Amino acid sequence: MNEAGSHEPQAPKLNKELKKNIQAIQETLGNPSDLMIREFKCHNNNNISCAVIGIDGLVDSNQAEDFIIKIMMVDMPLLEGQGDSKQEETTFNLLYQFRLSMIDTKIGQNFDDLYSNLLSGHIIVLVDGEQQLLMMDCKGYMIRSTGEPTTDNSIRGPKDCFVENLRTNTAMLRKRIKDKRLRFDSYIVGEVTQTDVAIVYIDGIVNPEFVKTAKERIQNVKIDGICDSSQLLMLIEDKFTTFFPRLLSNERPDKITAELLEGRVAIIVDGSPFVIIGPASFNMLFQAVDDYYSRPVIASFQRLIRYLAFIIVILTPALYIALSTYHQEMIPTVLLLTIINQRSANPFPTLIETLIIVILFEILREAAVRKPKGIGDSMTIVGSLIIGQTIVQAGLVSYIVVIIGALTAVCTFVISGSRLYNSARILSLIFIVVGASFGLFGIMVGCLLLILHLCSLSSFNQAYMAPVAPFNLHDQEDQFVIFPLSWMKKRPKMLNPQNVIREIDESQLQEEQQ
Amino acid sequence: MKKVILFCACFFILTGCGNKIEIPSLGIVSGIGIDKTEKGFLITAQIVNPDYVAGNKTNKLPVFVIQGEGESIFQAYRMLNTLTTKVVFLPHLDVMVVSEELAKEGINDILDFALRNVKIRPDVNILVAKDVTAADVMQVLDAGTTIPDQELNTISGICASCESVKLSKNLYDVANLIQKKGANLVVNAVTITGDVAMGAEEKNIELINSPAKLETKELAAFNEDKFVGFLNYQESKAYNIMNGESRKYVISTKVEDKYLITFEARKNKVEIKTDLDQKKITVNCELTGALMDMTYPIDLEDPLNIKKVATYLEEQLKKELIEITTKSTDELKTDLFSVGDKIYHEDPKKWKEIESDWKTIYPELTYDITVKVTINDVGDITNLK
Repeated sequence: MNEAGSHEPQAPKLNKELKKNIQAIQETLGNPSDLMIREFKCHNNNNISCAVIGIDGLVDSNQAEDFIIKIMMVDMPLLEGQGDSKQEETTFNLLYQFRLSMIDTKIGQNFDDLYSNLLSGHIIVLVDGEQQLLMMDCKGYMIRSTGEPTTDNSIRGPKDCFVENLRTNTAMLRKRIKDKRLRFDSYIVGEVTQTDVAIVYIDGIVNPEFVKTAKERIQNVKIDGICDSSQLLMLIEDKFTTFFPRLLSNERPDKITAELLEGRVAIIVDGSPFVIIGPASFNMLFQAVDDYYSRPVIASFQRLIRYLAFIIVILTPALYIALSTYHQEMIPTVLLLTIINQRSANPFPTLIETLIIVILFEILREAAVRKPKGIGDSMTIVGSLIIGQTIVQAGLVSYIVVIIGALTAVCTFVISGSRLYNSARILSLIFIVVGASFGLFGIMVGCLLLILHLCSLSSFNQAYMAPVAPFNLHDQEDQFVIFPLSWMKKRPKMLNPQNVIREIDESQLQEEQQ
Repeated sequence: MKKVILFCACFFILTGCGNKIEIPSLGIVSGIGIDKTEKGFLITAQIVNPDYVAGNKTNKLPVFVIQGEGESIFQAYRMLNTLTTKVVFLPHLDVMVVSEELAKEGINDILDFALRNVKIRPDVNILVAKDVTAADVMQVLDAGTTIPDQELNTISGICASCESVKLSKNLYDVANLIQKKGANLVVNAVTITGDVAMGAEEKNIELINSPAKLETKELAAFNEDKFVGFLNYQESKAYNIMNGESRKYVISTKVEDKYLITFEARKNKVEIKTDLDQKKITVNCELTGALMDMTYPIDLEDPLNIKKVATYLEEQLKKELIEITTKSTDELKTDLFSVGDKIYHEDPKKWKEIESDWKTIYPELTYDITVKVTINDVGDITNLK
């Protein structure tokens, strides 16, 4: 199972003497306070010495006591003499084959096995005179109960979300996809943290290239440790300097299920409730789970609003600057007169005014995210009411710029469900600079460059702008407008799934049976 | 990396910031009047006072006027900049008023100025000032309404009230019509009624009945780029019926010298056919619409009577059309109804032959007019007893 950590050649073997083994463990781990070692004599073959070792807090000590220590210390002596045929068995085999009734029990050979399992919440059983060890999964640490998703909210749809525990997360997916072809490929990432990572896909649907790419990239990650899936996400993204997310992450099991069904790959990282999805395309940034739980007409409208909001965020401030400094003839006369009147008392050029508002908003936003929860209200009052009101009265900026700043800010919230939000803010600043320097011409060139840039991106070696570029007529059903679910009989062609048709027809079933 | 930094630096170093104008420094010109002087041209520019439009009605006036004189129109325009701290900004121009004297000499100079390089938007109305100078027209304060965009400019309100004599031609239309051989230009004419001198006084917008008002009920006809004569109100209406440029046309007639009948046409169909051999232009005009005034005591419940009323209207309409067409051929000698254009569309080869002589052929032609008026709505009260 642990492909990354199991085949190192010079792993030190266990000592034959139990005492020396225990000593070695204590020395290696620095005899920490959470290390539990229970030594006892097994009242079987010549009172052989045994030890049960675990980490306090990681293991369920009740389970360990009931099913391991109690059996070895109390039940085994009682049973002696009944199963006479087992007399020839060594204590170790006896324990493994007949006595220890834990479901996930493995035999380890060396200290590496011992440490990696011990530190991930296994109970280790050592027997004097044996160079093997028993490892039993007995994880019992505290995990957060599954709450409501905090990032990708939906009005309808399931309210559960992933947690920090990988096993709970895989269970949630299993619960949703009761298909024998659901696969979890496990890897370990991080030399020090030894974080468990699982690639999830549905065999028979997914394009095997994606699994291969994901596997190669995860195995090539050289890092001492990762704290969250977003770090892994950045490490395995396609290498190209950009601020668009080439892989997505989501904490909703229903979303991940849908993506798996379309033929994508998910990557679960232990310790993070955010599951990575790949390959991603640009249009996925505008998808929300609600799109699939509402009527198609309404969902299409909502999605178009999101596209519009994105365009407003990146272009409005730049357009305002360009129009008001270079192309005044394009502003309606009355609006122009109103702007002139408002701005006649402002000392700064339009660019500076706009930057003041945009950066002020960024500061407020950052403050809102970082502030401790208790002081939220006072920040709202100071930030929005006092600054917003007085900045105009003080003559620092004009009303129209405040309107544009506020409009942009509200629109960023519309697209904030995904990481697109961050890209849009940076793009907005770039367009402001370009618009202030080159006017509409600059904005137009900027838009062209942006489109070229987007078309050059890839995600898991798949075109990022698909299905727009390269164009794919079939996949338009989930692009700008959403077709009714009953019309979407096929999976997205751009992902080249093994099985294109969503419903398995009878001929395919027969093939499978053969 | 160096290249990227250099590229980004270009944004700031090589920018076109030279064209940059900060908005508060703009002086938005809403209308200009062009007069002929001994030195050349006199431009009167009406510049909007943004404070007033944006709602701060202090003691200021909505607009102020500056004048510049020069050998060419552009030189005169440059002179304007010496008179104000603001950048004289033409793109938002709504109206250009040309004095009658200048229009007679030709408006090609003006179009050249407007279309060549000063970034005037093409949706500018050109008007000819009748009996007054263009400078006078620019200096009339118009009471208008209190809604800012309507009092924005004293001139652009003119055309909104033009009813059936309104014409709407942008600069490109005007330039096209001047160049075309088979059609001629007609624009609005503007004049000042009342006390011309009072127009520039603040009192003009303070009094409930302004002493000086702008009026545009006539049209100015051109031959090529030269002004040839005004069409009075009646003629203007007839002109519009022939060309179908407005949406509603009113015809009034008096029966037995005392009963007034007014008819508003809502549908207009005009067919113009030319027979060059017989030197005849056949006009077939059909109007459909509703009765508006009806003092003639006749039973309208009888369809025959409605037809009878229509006959009275037809007589009047025919009279009006004959007047305008005769004026067009005999007095103005200019093809107001794009007859040449219609020949071109029907028979391009023939038009090629006569194109160069059209100016002399047209005045020799005679009009043969048939009209038909259909009343399809007599209103809620059929008979008033």
